[in-house]
Amino acid sequence: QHGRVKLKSTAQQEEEKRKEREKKLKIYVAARDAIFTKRMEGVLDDEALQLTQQLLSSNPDFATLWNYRREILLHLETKMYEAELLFLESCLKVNPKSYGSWHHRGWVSARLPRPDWARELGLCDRCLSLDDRNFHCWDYRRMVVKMSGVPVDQELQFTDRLIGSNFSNYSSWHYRSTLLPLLHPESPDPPSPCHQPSHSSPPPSPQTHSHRVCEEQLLKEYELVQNAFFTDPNDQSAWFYYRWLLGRAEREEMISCVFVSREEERVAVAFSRPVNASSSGLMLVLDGQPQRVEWRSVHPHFRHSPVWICALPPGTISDIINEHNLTVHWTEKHTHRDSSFLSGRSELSVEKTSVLQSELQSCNQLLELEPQNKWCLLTIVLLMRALDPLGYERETLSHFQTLKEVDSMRSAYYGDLCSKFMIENTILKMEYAEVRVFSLSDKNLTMLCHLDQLLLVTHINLSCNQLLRLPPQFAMLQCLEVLEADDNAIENLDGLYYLPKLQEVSLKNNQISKLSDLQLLTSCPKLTCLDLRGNPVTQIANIQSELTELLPSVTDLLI
Amino acid sequence: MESVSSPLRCFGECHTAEKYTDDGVETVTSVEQRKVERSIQEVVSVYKQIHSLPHTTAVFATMTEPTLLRDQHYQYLKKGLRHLSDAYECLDASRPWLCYWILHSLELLEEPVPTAIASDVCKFLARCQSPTGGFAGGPCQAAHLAPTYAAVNALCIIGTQEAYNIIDREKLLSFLFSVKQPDGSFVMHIGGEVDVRSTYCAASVASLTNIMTPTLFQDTPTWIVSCQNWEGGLGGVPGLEAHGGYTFCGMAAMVILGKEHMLDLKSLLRWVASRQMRYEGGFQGRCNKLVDGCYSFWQAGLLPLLHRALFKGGDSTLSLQKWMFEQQALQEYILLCCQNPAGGLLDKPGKSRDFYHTCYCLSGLSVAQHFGNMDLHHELIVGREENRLAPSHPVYNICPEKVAQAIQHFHQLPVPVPAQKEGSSACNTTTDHS
Repeated sequence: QHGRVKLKSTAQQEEEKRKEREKKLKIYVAARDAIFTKRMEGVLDDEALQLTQQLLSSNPDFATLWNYRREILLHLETKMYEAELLFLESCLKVNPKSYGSWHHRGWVSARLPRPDWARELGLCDRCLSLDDRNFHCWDYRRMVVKMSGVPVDQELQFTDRLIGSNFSNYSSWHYRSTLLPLLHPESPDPPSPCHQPSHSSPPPSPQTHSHRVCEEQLLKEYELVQNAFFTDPNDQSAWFYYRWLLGRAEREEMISCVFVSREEERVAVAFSRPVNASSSGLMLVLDGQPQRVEWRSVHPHFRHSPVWICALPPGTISDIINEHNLTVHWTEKHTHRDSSFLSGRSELSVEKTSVLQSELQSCNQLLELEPQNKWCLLTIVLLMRALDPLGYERETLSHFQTLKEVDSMRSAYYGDLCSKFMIENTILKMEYAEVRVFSLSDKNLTMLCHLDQLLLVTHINLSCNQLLRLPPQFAMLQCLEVLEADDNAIENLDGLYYLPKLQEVSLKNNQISKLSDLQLLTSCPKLTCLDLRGNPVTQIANIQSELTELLPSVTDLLI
Repeated sequence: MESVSSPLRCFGECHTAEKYTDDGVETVTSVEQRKVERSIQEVVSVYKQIHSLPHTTAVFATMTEPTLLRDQHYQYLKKGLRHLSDAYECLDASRPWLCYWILHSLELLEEPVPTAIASDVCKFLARCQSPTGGFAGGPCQAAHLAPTYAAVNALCIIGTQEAYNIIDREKLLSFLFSVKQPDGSFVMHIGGEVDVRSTYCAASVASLTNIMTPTLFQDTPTWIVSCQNWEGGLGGVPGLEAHGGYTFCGMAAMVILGKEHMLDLKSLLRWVASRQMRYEGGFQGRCNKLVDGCYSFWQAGLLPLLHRALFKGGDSTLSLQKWMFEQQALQEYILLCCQNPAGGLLDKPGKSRDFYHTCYCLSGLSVAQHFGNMDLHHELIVGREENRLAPSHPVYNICPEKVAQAIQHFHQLPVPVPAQKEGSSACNTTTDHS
């Protein structure tokens, strides 16, 4: 019933039509009852075919009748199938969105000894030309392509044609995204000629196959998409597809860092994505001996966390004299990591870099014609990040400023995205310099992220930004000793949770307003210096004595 | 509780700025979208004219607020339960659906169903039950998961002993096993097609009637997860584009099976939030398609499910008052653009009314009006207080009391022992009558 067209008639013809319809209804009901009688008697003849044909012409959703027709057809000669395909075509004309019709046609086609797949493809072409969003037809097409071994590159050309005539056709881009990884899969070996048509072996199904596409083809695809968004820079379909393309390089799942503290006898492990270590097969091996330890996530809020901690049995590594060898095994993913630094960032191949450069050039050309186009601006930012995040930092910041102006409704989103990029850049700078001090002051940060990569940081400066809170993820900074976060709008300190090495905290000119906001600080055993000047909480009566009672070990308290 | 008598979002100065921009390059898609927006604009400007009349009397004042045409809808529904015109021939294989759509609409409007009618519906649905288990689209037809879902829901709405006793639980379980496939999916009927609707229909009836066995849904969650694609929503089968109806079915099934965290909830949230149309206020079913009143439920109904799932996963930033979609805008779309003055609701202005759209527009209106659950409840009613509908259960889409009552009843009965082996092949058609 969804999407059916209804015709209006004038008042004069109303009565005539009503009589017509009553007659039709009587015929319908009579035919239906006759069919059921025949079926109960187990009759499989031509008359039954005639009757069900009559009914299905006006109601093709009658699944029971399709079942009955299948039983009859199995019984009769194969040449009946030919007539069935013709009948199905007329059914599809009446309702191109009937589940029963498409399923039945698929069933018929599969049973023919020599199916005419070219004809089926032609039917799909025609149906899609009438409604290129009809997913029944897309699904049928996929089946035809699979059964008949239509080369994937031919289908790719098909999407070329559809996209060429209507760039907004999301379904075509979507279909294309499923074809690309089949035709040009990413291989672990260095780029080999990537045209291996899949007739020799059965095409891998989307579920079992990785969605990655080999680099060479990826770069060609950029060109196609560029044509689309140059023609219509405001059509979303192409930009989304482009962004999907840019995101094809997935990070491997692995342990990115292991940190061991002799003094506190604890181990912290950072993963490339949030995991649930209690069910994930995480094993600690010390000097060749597996240890029985309990892993806990860095904050009780998170069942899945990128950072996990465990305490070692007392006395195992506290002795300074001996050397120890410690390894963490992630048995679920068959990887392991020794206690050492790691920075895993994949470098672009020379070929890829030059093509991305020309991508960037093209987008910049478009920007000259369309200086207010947000899609273009955002894509330029993404390209610059793929090429050289540090080198393009200034241009990136300037583009974000423009984005906030031309698309002010999303300025908060751009603020957050820019914050994320600035944090990424600072992490890169920190790694190149091999230091453990992290400075992000005065960067217009509206939020914090990538905190799982700051496991080893000892000093962090977040002053003069627009932060509202230190989120629970902040608890991943297990090595933090000094925190400076003055001149923000922080009112929530959820993330200062059991930070074992934290000694100094400066939170001048923020929005901490209740004593209860500071409760969590009691969980940091080494905290001795705390600066709360310029916070509303300092105006509370007796605040000095209340704080001294709450945090007795803080000897240096400034309010 | 909030009652919004004014201002309406669609009367605001910035509303016209939300219209679609095609930058002078027309496509078929953009032309259709603008046609719809023009028709919505006409509706809104008519309302504005009425609104700007001086309200000299109390009567006038109430007329200027968006009003749910309760009486008209009630008459339309009441009649439909007894008699349908020949236009409904195309639903001859979906008659339990008509029972469910009408009964659910009536329960949302808080109109009681007379005992005699309820009993007649029960007797009719009993005739739709197949001797081999499950319910069919009509008497003497083959059992099918969609009318099975609708029949069980309708019987639970009626909620009497007579209604519960209609369901043959043993045979229903063997029907479910007979349509179960080795890869975890279900075909819609023996000899029929596979898609994610089937998992929702199966999970819904199995959980309500307490016939779940340890193996019935083996591998089903993994199969459903494979339907989620890069857009964030779910397609009907793996490889298809994300679609509101299928996404709801997949997500609700996962919630019933307790496996919702296997889905990428954040990308699902992002996809569905992007499906609300900025000008119209209603939802589209797929990216770059047109708004439709029925997606008020299939799409907006995902947000309560996501809210609860994210809350269970430990997210402490969730709102305690609002779902993550524009509730006011959706209510305005439904009340101003989706009501037929003679009763019944519809897809969009210019379309005809039908019971399917009546059911899902009202269900969507209920979702938009009610936030929360038993313990925490916050209402936002656009227009008059009388527009308030009963709240609906976000998974089953019948009233929560009826869900609780049914579950309580069926859990006193033991789970049947499965007699039949699972997984008939798709080409095996068996006769239903011997």
